[in-house]
Amino acid sequence: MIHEDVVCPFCGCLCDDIAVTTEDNMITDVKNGCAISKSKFMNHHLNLLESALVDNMKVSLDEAVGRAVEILTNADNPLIYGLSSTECEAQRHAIHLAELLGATIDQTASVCHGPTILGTQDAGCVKCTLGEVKNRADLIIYWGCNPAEAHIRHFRRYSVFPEGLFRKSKKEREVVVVDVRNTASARIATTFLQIAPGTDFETISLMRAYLKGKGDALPDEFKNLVERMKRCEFGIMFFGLGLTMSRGKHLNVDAALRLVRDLNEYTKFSITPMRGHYNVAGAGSTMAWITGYPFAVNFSMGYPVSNPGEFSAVDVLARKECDAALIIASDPVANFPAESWKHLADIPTIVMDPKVSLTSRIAKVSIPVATAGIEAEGTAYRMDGIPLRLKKVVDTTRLSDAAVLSRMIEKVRA
Amino acid sequence: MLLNPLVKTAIPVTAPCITPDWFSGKSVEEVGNLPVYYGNKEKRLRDVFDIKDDGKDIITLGSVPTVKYIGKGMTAGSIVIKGDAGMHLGAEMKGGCITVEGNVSDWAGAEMKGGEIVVAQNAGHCLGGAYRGSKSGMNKGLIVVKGNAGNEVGGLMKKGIIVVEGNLGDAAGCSMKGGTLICYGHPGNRLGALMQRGSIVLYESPALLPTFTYDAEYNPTWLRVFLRELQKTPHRIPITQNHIEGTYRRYNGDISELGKGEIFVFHE
Ligand code: SF4
Repeated sequence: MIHEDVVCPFCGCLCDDIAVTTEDNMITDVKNGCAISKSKFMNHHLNLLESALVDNMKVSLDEAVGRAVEILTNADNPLIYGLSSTECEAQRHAIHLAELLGATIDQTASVCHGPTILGTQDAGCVKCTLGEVKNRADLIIYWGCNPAEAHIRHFRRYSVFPEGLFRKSKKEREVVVVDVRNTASARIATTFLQIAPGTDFETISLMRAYLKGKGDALPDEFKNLVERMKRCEFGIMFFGLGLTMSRGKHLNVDAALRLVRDLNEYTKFSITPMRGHYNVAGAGSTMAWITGYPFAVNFSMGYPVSNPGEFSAVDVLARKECDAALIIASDPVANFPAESWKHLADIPTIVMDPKVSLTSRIAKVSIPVATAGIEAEGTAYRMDGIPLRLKKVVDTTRLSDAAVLSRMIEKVRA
Repeated sequence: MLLNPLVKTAIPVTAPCITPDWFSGKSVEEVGNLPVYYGNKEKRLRDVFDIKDDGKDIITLGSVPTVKYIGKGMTAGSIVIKGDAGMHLGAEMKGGCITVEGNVSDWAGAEMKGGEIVVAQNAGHCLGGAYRGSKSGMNKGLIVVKGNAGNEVGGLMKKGIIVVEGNLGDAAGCSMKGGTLICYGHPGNRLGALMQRGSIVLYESPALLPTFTYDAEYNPTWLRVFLRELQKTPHRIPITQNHIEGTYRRYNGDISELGKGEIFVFHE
């Protein structure tokens, strides 16, 4: 059986044109997707968490959920973390659970594009959809990101190569890559501008000053870029972790957002973060429409309070403030600093994941779940904030994240 | 009132009730009945502190590195902390004085509107700063830190004075809109980023952002008057006669923003 127009549940591009062939409930072929997408679909059944575990002993799902709820309700300061690689319904239930428990809830943006959210809160953000980019953009800037290797189909579907309404091919678009090294993306660009590591803020600030007629110290190639930015008909800047995770973090993003805002005095210019996990944008949106805040939210006083730095998972763990943790669709042991993840090994940690991960290995309770977007349907938000429906292409006996979380909620309420 | 912490875990205690305003006119029994949060559990102050009446109006606390919001919004009176203090110390305070004999965590004096905070050792990030999404940080009042301070000291500061005798972290005075920040140690990276107005006074040479431009070297009259007034405070800020009479190099910025901020670097 061929499933058409399946949404790829891997990166923030959320390509919605994948064709997946299944036979006897097994995926046998994947068309249109990039190599990462193919690997995600074809290997989704490998390395699975085979059974619910408590203290590494096989137990029934009900027992594992019961033990998880016991740990979470007895905790004085539980933490819920992850969310970006699952669908919005599950995220909604996780937030509800956090509210019932009086927990801190944070999503993975706090270690990637959290500074983007802080920058947006400071400066605002001129946005547009990727459809508008494809149809209209004649100047495309990638700053501190490498889509050729991280968002493989971004060039082909949304920016450089697609046939749009007003821009028909790469010939009608100018592509500029600004980065600290000559990446695979830089080789596709019409212009590559190399900057010294850690000077993004200084460069963007000088570009803004030059726009105001003052930044004489700006190097000539960047003066030239600002002139081209002013002259273009529809400009777009994509930025990645090169801005958000280098020294200065939210200040870098703040400056970039302000530059784009300033450019709208001259022409139409937008800016979009290159979000990593496929539904990290959804995690921010879901948390924002339910709690009022996109990440690092605490419910210990019964109402939501947000303060990145105080309630962000890395910081809460580094200060050893939480005494139990529920990790949903994420692997913090693999990507948090040692001082943070070591605390996860010291406290009772519960993991909900389809696969075995480093975090599931140190967890007290592991709960296997269905893979969202392959074994369970749901909604995910693309990097530009467009919601798309994830499809279920194979059946499984395992429950979805949302179903497990609603069982937990029932037990907490009982 | 003497308060000694009973719990020694890392679970944060949220206690905005520890202010002279809340304590005034209350017996030990009544003070012990004030609500606090230990993690997500609502408790009474007596559950987390041993409370004794020493007959003084001053609130004296032991080392409380995990207790948040001490002195929040206080309008008068004194708090002395005989050790470290937790986050949000004196946040939004309007008057009175808080003395910390150890270190203080992040957001001390955040969005304060008056009063004084004196820290004997180091301060954390966002000292006198603004909460995320807020329009302005500290707005009147005085903060003196004898040691170093973290990142984004005085972020979005509108009025008031911050003196850091040690080093500053990154982006001190970022998006500053007014007020004065004085630093005697190393001023850190990206000082005054996105600054609109306000003054930063330095006694060590900074690596300034390229969006600050040199104006002149002179002895600013306002600074002379200002330092003389600061000298009169009991906080022993290391102001010398040279600092008052010497010349300063004035830089103006951040020119990517309004550009009316000024950085004075002491010359001789
Ligand atoms: S670019 Fe991203 S969303 Fe598109 S197919 Fe590849 S991994 Fe999937």
